[in-house]
Amino acid sequence: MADATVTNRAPAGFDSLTMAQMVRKLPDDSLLAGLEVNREAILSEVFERFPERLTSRGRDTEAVIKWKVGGAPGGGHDRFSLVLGGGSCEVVRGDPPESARTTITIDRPLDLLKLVTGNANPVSLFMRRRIKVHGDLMLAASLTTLFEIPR
Amino acid sequence: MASGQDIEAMVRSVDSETAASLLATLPDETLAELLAGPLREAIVPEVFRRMPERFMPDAAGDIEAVVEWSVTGGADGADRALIRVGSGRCELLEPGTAEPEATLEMDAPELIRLISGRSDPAEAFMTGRLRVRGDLMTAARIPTLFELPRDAEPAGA
Repeated sequence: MADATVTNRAPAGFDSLTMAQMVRKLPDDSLLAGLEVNREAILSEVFERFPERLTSRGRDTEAVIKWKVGGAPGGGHDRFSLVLGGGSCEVVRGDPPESARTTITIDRPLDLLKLVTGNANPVSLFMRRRIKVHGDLMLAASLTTLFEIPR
Repeated sequence: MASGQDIEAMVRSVDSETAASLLATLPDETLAELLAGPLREAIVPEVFRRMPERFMPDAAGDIEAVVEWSVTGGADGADRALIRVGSGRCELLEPGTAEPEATLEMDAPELIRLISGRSDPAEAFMTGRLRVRGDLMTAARIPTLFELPRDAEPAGA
């Protein structure tokens, strides 16, 4: 870290691939520090990127998926909803306009960050109760076929 | 490596812009140490003031944005600068004259690291050294739009 060389310019912008690389490269305590400072911006970025990662199977799916992410300021969970239908995916901050077919609860935001960037195994997180699913379990299990994970 | 006092004396003996360039070449710990002292009050406004002439239009491409820099840890709270980037230029705006699309908040050493290209804005954001409010895509590009002063480049760079 503490050398005097001037490194190359960063790649322009911030996309889901950049985020995936950062999550892969950085130690957990650094990412936790980042979530502490930039939680709102990071969570917004995570969910806003879902529509562009919709697969052809995702485009054929009609479903509402609600997410609850723990560790919100003041306690509790932040809510985001993905409304799939008509070949696209709409991201809604908060509860969905209609009832969700499945609700996915992740208490630790770092787990979510690792999950959406392909740096954690969803089945393993589920088995350890770090992902909780209410409602349609099959839909939750098929998420990785509805959205492409950046590599 | 020269001692902290030597470096401070050297940095103080030159103009603020050259000082900012010199700081960019220092190891993180020395940088933090120097900018914890009175030098900070001279350097941070100078970095802001020089942004228009250090701006690289080619790197900016078609970005059109108003962003606010907020550098924490000043004697009277954060030092702020409002800039408008667009049409091949960067201009400093009077505070409060425009609503920023994004705010970038960091301490003074991180400002120097970001502006000199030593710190990757995406990594600074993901590790919390850079706090972003508003449009992340714009915010992540802004620190890369300024040219490193020539005399700050190490030999062979």
